Amino acid sequence: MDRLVVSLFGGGNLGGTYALVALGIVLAFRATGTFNFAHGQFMLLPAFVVGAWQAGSGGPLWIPVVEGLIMVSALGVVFYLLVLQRTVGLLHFMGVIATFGLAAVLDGAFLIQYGSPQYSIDVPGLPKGVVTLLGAHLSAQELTLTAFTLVLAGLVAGALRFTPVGIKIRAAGQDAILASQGGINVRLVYVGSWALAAALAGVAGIVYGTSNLVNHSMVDVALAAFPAILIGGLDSIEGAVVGGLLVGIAQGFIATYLGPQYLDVLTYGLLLVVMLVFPQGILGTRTVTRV
Amino acid sequence: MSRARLLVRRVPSVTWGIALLAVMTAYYVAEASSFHLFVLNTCLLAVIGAVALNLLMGTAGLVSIGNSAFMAVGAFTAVWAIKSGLPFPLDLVAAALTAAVAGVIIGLPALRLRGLHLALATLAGFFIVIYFATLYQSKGKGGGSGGFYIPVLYQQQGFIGGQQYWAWTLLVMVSLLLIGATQLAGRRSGRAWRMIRDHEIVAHTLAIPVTRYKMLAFAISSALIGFQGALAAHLSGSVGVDSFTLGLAIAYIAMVLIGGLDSVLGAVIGAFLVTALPTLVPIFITAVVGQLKTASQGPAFAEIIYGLLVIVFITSSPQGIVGLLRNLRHGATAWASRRGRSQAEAA
Repeated sequence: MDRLVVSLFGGGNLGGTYALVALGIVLAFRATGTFNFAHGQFMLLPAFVVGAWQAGSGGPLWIPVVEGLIMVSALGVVFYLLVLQRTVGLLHFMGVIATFGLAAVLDGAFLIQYGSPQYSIDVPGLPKGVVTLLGAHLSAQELTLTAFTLVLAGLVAGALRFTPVGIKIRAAGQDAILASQGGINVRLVYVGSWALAAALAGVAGIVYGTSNLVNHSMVDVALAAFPAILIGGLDSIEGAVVGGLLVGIAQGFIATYLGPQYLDVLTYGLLLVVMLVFPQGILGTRTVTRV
Repeated sequence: MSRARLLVRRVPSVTWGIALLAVMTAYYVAEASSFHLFVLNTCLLAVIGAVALNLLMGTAGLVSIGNSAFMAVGAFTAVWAIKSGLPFPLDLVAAALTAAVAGVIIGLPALRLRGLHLALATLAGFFIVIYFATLYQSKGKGGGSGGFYIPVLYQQQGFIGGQQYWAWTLLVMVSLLLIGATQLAGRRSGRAWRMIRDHEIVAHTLAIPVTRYKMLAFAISSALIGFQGALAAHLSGSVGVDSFTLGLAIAYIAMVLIGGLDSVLGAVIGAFLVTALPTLVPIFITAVVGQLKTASQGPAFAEIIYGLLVIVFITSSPQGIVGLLRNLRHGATAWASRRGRSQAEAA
């Protein structure tokens, strides 16, 4: 029973991070049709900023958090304005290849700026200690962070579904011409989508860095969110949250019952199977063929 | 047109490329600097993978980040083959065949949906391959944290001698590959792949067997990449999981894109440029700014530069370096004809 609870909550913690990451990738994908392979680097940037700040001078936490999130949002916006805007009309996979280029640039820049460090992020005010639930010992900090990520992911997904701004974002993603006819500033919506997507990645990075470590392997977390996106449905915002949580919990069970060495192979095996037999996912539309 | 120019035209352009590579190889072999030879050999090896990826990504329009996975398949198959007692050239064949099978399996999702799904499938394939390779490395006999050690080819020639032999061997292999690749890309199969890339639905109506051609592209390209992986293992003498990274796969995408999509010449140029960058960058920076702590940061700067080049070429010249050269030539011809006309008018 305690192993069940541990895998459920441990997986839920991971699932919250995946949900935020997947939400960002899907948001950017719906805006410009670009699947962002540099999302892991987007996670890493604010995490490095916060980690380096705490390892160095110290001071109130909100300064590097805000700084990091603004930096990564600006990066997303600049990338959209300077690069993605100009890939319109090219072969449809050029934007995706551009994100590979961006990932290489950021990896190189991290290596020069930070080396290969290990930072830990300590958020003051988080409850310390252990909560015992049905015989399982759970970290109070991880539980709080899980709740935070899930609530944030739920709020963003809800806002995208119900608020006027969210409806504009979804409309512009579905049919740019029709949306602009309806008076929506499509370009502004795309800029906003990329900024929000990057900021979500940044939050996910800081949260993941708080419950784990900040190092380059964080990029793998973004890659592990890809199965979550495909399972939820490539173009579905709610699907991203559902898929993220599902994959996270599945990984929790794999890690507890089979062993962590099977995580990658089973997760990505799942991705292959989903693409082969169930390419539209749980909540996605059937006809997504663009890159 | 003069007779000499007609004669030049009649020789296939790939011959000139091979001749140029041969001159380069002869120069570096004669120079006998072990470091330059090593860089040359690494570049020639990279050409194999870049040409193979160009076939898949440039000609057939199927984005793949599977290069390091297929290289790993090839390298570990070669290790297994050598340990099972297969003599030297046969292990390369085994590596190519295994990688081809792996490529077809991983390519299956791209038969249903295109583009992104192959990129994601190759990503999944990468992690699955790395899992089994890690398992084999930790459990297999002779493995360990450093990986497997296999006999280096031409070891008895000494280090420089071995590298010289390697340069000629690789030159022959790359030449054969270039001839084969230009044939594939220039004939019926090339036209079919381009039609699938640009208008898949039209390709169906033109009675192009889309599924068969996609499978063929996966199989040929991953076989070549597997072959390259096995060959690289014979050059370095060791095979370890750690050397096959996603960054390496992205570097191959950069080669194809910087050189020019759907161009064999472009893949060669891109492979040389991206592979030589980590060596060139520290030399360049030291020359311009003076001594910095760049020696260790060469690979990091190289990563930034080729990443930026990818982005710059996508936004300003999607046909890569080859596209730039082509525009230059067209510009020159137009200029020459204008000049000729104005001279004729003046006369």
